[in-house]
Amino acid sequence: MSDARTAKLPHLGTLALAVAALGLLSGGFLAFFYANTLESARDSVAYLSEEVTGGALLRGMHHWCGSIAIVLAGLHALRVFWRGGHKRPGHRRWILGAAILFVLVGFAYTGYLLPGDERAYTGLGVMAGVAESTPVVGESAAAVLRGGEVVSSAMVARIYAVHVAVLPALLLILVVALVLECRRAASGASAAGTADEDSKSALAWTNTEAAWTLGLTALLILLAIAMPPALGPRADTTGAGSPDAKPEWFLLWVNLLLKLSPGATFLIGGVLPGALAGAFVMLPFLSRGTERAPAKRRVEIGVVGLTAAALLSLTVWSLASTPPPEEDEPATAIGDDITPEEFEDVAQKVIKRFRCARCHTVDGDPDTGDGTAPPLDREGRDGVPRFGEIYSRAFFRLKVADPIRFWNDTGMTYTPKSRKPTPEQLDVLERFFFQDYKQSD
Amino acid sequence: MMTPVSASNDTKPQPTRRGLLSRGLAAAAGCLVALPAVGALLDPLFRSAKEKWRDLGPAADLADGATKRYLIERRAGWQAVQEPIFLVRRGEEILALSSVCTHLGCRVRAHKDEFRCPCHQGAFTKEGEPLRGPVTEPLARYTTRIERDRIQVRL
Repeated sequence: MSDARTAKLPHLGTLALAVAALGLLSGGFLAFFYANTLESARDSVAYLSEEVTGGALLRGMHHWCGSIAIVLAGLHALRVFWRGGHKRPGHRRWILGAAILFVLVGFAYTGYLLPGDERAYTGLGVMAGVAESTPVVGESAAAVLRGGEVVSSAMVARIYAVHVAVLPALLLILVVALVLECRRAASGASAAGTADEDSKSALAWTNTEAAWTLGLTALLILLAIAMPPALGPRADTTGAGSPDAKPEWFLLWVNLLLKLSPGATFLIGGVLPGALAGAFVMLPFLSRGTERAPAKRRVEIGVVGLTAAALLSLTVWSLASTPPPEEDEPATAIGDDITPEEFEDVAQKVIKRFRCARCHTVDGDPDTGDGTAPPLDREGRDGVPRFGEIYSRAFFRLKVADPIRFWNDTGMTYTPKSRKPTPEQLDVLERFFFQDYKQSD
Repeated sequence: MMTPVSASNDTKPQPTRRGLLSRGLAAAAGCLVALPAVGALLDPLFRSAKEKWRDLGPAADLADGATKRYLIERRAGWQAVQEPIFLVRRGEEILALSSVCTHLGCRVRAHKDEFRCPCHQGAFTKEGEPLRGPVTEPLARYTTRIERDRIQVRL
């Protein structure tokens, strides 16, 4: 391996830790704005990313730190493995580094469960569901994880504590141990005159790494702006499951396998990832040969390569097999020749689109509403005032466009959809409830 | 090439009696904090939910053949969480089904004549029996009764 070529390449392990450090830094600031309850989490995150100066950037960078640190640490592991660096005398560094990789995955996993939207809520339920599939102690494990019999703020508090206290402490301990081990290896190797590529470059921090770190920070900013993390509707414990219930990318492979293997939840969701992680950490002891040249380690490289390829294919397959969304954006451009029946159909689609009928009974339909919100009625059934008569048209539009803004007046503090209706959709709702469409000639 | 790196022979100070004592005391202090901490973390294991009959309103609200969503209150930590269950009426018999998918615990929703889970596309029949997808267990059922023309469910 020529020194001129490798000298320009940055130390990927150092870069992974540098990005993790940026994650700790940005995360520390996020904590100033985060409310760790199931009810408030989403609103606090929405406030941060929509109203706080620089908040969206901060949250976006923190979000991307997770994925980028995992990718960098994974690439570093592959590179070390390719060069045989996991073998003695590097085995201790391999174990510490592998443990750090899993701590980084832990950060990203717990992080995705915190925003308090439907996706995070579903993720919390699945986490408890997988834990519950454990033989004998499943019920207890799920109860301890949830902090109660169902998913609630108690679980959010627990996951939050793991995310901001347990994992950072673990990361700190492991990084200190790794740095000490690298120094020990470097001094031992140079004393014995056996300095190899890995012990020399162990956690190097040169101008190259510094320049790359600055470049990665720029990438984080770019990603935060171009691909900001999503924030769905607020978690609703009373509601039906959300259709956009996909986990983070590094869980897609296991999510797909869970879907394909009914009745084997514990085997697929618990034993398999545990065994893979264990094998990864214990790699130096599973292949005991001392040979380092890749050409002479075909079996070892083949097994690891095939496993990595299988995980990658499953991930790609899962990404490709995204089920089509159940609801399409209803057509709202309405021609003049539309019949009242066709118009009612479109209006019902808009009402469905914004899930008004989840809480409100619409037109006395027994399949709508759950008794937590006043009815919306065109006709005025059973002493219910006609919805069109309660407000002026102007106020109707304002209120329907942003119900929570008028909570003081209406008592409505929650909308299932965070998106607001378009002016065309507002037109439809206004014409529907004021029954303009019936008189049109 | 393969010389083990334990070259720098560690000359660690031998643990003295005083050193042992101070470490033991520190460990004891740590344990005293850890004990209640472990207790608090495992607390959900020490409390069991008491089953009781819950009133779900007049029986007339649930038409024969209908499937309807009701909210019941579950305790979790310091909160009371409203959780949906489904009631299905077959004449005088009322089926109370949990809304928690038996695959991985996502929430199912009533869709036409079945219950669908959005997470892994599992589906159950109107009676909560596995229909499609990765589900193998039926939806959990609760005991119901009609008392003085009101529906009650026990959980």
